Amino acid sequence: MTSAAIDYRSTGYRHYNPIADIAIGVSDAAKSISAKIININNAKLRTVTGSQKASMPSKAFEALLEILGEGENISYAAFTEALIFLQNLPANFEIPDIGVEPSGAITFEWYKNPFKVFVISIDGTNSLEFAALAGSGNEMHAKMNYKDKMPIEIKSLLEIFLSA
Amino acid sequence: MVDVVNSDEIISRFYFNKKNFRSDNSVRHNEFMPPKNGRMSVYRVSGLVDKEIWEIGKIYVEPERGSPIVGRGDLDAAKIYDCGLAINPTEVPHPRHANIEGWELNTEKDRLKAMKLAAAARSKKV
Repeated sequence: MTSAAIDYRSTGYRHYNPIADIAIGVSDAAKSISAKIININNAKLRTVTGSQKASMPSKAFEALLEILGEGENISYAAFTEALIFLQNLPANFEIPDIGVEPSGAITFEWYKNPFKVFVISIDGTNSLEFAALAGSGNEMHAKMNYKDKMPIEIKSLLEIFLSA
Repeated sequence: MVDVVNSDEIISRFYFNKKNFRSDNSVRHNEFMPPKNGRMSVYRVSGLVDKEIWEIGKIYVEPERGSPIVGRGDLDAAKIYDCGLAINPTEVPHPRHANIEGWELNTEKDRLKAMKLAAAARSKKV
C-alpha cells in the first residue's frame, strides 16, 4: 500500500486521516461502523495514482462519528456519502456544522445568522439537496444527482454565499 | 380554545436535540423538519406564562416522545401561515395541542420552510 503525503488543509483544526486513524472517544458502535466504512471506502478515497486525497478536518470527522454514536437514525449509505462529501469538500470552504434530520439525512450547515443559512443534505440515495436563505427575498432550493463531488452549480452558489 | 388559530397567536414547538442549538442560542432547521406523517406537533400558548408552557411539555410531550425536552421555540402563527402551512387544532392530548400541516413532503421544499420557521422562532433552552 502506498503511503502518500497528505495535503492537510489550513483551517486551523487538527486534521484527521479517516483512512489511517480510528476515532477515539466515541461509542463502540460508532467505531465499529466507522471502521467498516473506512475500510470499504478505502478504494473510493484514493486517487487513480494510489495516493490518498486530502484528509478531512478532525472536527468534522469527529462530529460525524458522534452523531452515529448517539444512535441517530442514519443509514450506512448516508454516512458513507457524508464521509466522501467531507473528504472532497474544496479546501477553501469553511468547515460546516453537521446535523441530522428526523429522516436520517445528514446536514451540512454554513451559518451567518438565522436569515443567512446554507444547508446541504445527504441521505444516501446518490442525490444531494440544498436550501439557502440568503437575506430578505433571496431563498433557493434544489435537488441534484450526487456521486462524490459537489455539483458545480451548488459549489458556485456556496462560494458566493460564503464570500458575501 | 377556538377551532381556528389566529395569526396573532403564539405557537410553541418543543425541541429534543441540544445539538440543534447554535452558540448564539438560535436553533437549526432540523427541529422544524416535518415527521413522515406530515403532522408537526405544536401548542397554542397565547396567554400562558413560561412555567405553564414548560409544564405542558413535561406532562404531555416528554412521555410521548420518550426523551427530555431541551428547549422550545415560540413563533407567531403568522410566520407559519406565511410559509403556506396550516395550523390544525386537535385538542388531543391537550386542549391547546395543534399540528402544523400542509407540508409538501418533498424534503428540499420543506427544508426551506423549516429554515424559515427556525429563523423566526424565539428559542430558549430549558
